[in-house]
Amino acid sequence: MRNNIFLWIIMFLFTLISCEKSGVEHLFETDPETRVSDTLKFIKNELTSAEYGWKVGLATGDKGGYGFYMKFDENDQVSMLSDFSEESATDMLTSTFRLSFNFFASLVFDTYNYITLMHDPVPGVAGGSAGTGYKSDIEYSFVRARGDSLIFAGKKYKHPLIMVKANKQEQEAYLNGGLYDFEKSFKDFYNDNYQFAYLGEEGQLRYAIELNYDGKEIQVSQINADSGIDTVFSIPYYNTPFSIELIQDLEWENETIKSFKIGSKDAVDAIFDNQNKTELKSQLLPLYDITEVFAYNKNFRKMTWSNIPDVQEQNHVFNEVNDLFAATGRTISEMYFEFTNSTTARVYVAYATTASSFSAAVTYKYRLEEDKLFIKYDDHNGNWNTRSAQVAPVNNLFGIGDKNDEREFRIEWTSSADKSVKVPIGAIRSVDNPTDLLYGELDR
Amino acid sequence: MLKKYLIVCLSFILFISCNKEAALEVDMTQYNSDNPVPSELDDWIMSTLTNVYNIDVIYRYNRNLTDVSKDIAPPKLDRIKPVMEAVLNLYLKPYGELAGEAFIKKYAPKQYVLYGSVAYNSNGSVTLGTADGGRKVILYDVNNFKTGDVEGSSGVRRKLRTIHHEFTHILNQNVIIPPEFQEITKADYDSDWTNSANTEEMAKELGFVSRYARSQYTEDFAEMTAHLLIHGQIWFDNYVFTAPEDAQEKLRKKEEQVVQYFKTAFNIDFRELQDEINNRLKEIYDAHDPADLNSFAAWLDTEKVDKIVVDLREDIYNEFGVSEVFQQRWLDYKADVDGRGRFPTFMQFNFASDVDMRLEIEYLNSGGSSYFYYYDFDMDVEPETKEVRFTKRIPEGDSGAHNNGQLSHGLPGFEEFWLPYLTENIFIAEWLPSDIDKEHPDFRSYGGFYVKDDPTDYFYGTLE
Repeated sequence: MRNNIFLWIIMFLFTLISCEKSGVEHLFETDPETRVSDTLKFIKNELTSAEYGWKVGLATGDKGGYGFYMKFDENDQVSMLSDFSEESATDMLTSTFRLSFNFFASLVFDTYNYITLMHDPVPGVAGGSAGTGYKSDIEYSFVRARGDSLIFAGKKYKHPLIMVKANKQEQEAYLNGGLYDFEKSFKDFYNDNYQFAYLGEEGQLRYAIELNYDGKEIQVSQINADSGIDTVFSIPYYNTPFSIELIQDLEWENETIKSFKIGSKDAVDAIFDNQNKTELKSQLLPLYDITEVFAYNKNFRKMTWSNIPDVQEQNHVFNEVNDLFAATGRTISEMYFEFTNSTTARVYVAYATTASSFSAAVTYKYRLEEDKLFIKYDDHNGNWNTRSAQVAPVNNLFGIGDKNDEREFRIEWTSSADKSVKVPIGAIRSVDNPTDLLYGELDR
Repeated sequence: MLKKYLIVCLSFILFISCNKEAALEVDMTQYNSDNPVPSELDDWIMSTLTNVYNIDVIYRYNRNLTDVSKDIAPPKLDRIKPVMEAVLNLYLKPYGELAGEAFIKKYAPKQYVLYGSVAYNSNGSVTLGTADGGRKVILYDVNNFKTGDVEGSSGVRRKLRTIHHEFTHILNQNVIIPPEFQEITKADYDSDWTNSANTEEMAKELGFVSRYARSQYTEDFAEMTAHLLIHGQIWFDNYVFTAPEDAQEKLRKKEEQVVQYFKTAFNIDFRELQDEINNRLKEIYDAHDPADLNSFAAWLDTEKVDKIVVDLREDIYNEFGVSEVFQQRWLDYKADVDGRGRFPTFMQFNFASDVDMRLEIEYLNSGGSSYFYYYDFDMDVEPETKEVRFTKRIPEGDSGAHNNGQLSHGLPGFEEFWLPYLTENIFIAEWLPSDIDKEHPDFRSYGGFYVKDDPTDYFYGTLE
């Protein structure tokens, strides 16, 4: 009997200690190394088996998004085109890539190609910051596969790399310089047809859309029904031969905008993920009220003179001042109206003769109540006096010498009939003589 | 009985407990699926560097082989071979020939890691190369490398200077730098070498071969070695020559220590190594020596010489010798003029500027009074090659001595002996006689010319 008990005890002990690796129950079916190996093989196979290559886009930290065409082959070689420049969009460049495991399955572009331009830490190469370039990666961790897409994330900067399988027609477009042609034609089309672009209906919630070619991103301002700005955000984009693709989704009326294309009429279409589309509209004036942005403590505190064509007004004070200075052989380098603090404003003119530079300035006391602006003369410097004949148009508008002469104005938008003008043009208009006004580009 | 059972059971348990080992056997090869098909470039590296020198070249980007926190671009594929060829030609092979294959195979770094861009440091400077533990060298900025550009900031010399600099560190890790070396400019080392006050000019005035050399004595030693080897002796002599006097002394002392170090530590003739590298630079990369700022030609070119007096009656020709061809020419000329009743005594070459040469020959008339014949020439000096060409200036000057030169007793001899000699030959300007060494009191007090194609035909004289 005692023997039996011992046997039972021993049997029990055996069951406890006999844990072998092969006996471990895997949470994910197989060994970690097998799964790693499977993932790497899967990605490599996906990459190299795409017969017509890949449409690729990535975001950088500093300079928006960039588009690529990539074709991978078995021998670790990758050929690419990029929308970085005309050259990169037309001359295919071959380099190497590899897949390796480093915490995640990673795709590494391990010799130089166009994708390295954004990563290169030398400013002379592509204009990035010294030491960090555009804050972009060349090592990407695999995130997921979805349909015909592979999604990666940069190892250091974490920005997405999106790869979508191309079809035959798309491949041909890329190989025939389509990337550059599209970028150029889209830019021209947008320039010719849009001033202040937006989605939505006036009087309701709208998105003001601003295309920033140099920054390779779109800026979206959410405008409420009262023409106030709720939020502003930016989304990097990249080019394909057919569209501008957004790196992040843009939610609009419970749907998701993925890209923009040139539409059938004189409009750009915003394309939703379900392939529906809506037209991007345009208007002459910014969507938000000027009072939202123009004050001493808001986005813009200056109204600056620049040569803006086709402004539909009768008086052009800054232009007149400029002409009067030019007639005396003096050149104006800078001229603006500025709210210097909550009670003081000034008009400042920097001008030069062939020999030296001068500045003339006049200051005013002001009150700004919504769009009502009350101005009275306060002080001026010696040059303002010396150049009184040239600055007369300003003096006529705002008054000079009499500190009790308060004049009433409205701040509002004015516009240019030239569609290439996409900057907000602010105006200070006299209430007594509405044709008298000062206008200029809003500035910081 | 009970005990027996226990012992048997426990020993069983002991045995089977060891089975857990199996769980530790992980097949690491699974973690990297890439097994790249060797490209043509890989084959070249394998056959030229790996098989011969046991050197591995890693050019495909690997963040973990450098500072992981930095952004550094990978190299361009088409730059790998030119860079490694230069390493082979200007570093591995010269050392192999001078110090022996065994030496270079033993000491050469076993791993070269290449990156395309420079590596930025927090102080704004950039790193071009590093050497780790004598085994690994990292070369940055490979993408800018151009074989056609020898002297530029991305050229052959600059890149190879980094290689030699790093290799010097490796040598120093095996045999330490002689302690006397750091004493030479001990007070002027400054870890903040990128400070704007530390200009190149300042480094030179303090007796350093570069700004970076000021950072610490180990870098100083590596900079000295690399500059001497890759820029050559003429470059270094020029550098020293243009430095203030006490800096010259310090630089020369350092140079001596470097040469001595290679001899004592590794039995390498540093001068031969230097020549070998520079000859290869010239042959393979079409490099040229800089103009020797201290050559006689450079002196002529910078108007440091007024006159060479060639008076064959002087003692120096007994001491240092005379060109027989030239002496005969002088004697023939003298006989010709003597026959016309005038008696030449000596000649001198007068340099009013770097483009003027006047041949002036003194003669006596029958009464024993002294006169001169003057003949004006244009001079063209090329300091790099030391070549000098003379062409006859027309019209001749109009001073009394110029007129003498045109008289019937002077002109025929000039036209027969001196005009063709001076205008039909290319001359090499040189410190002559060549066997006066640096220690001689007369060192650099004589200079002259020899015919480029016939070095036995030369003349020299006292400089004034």
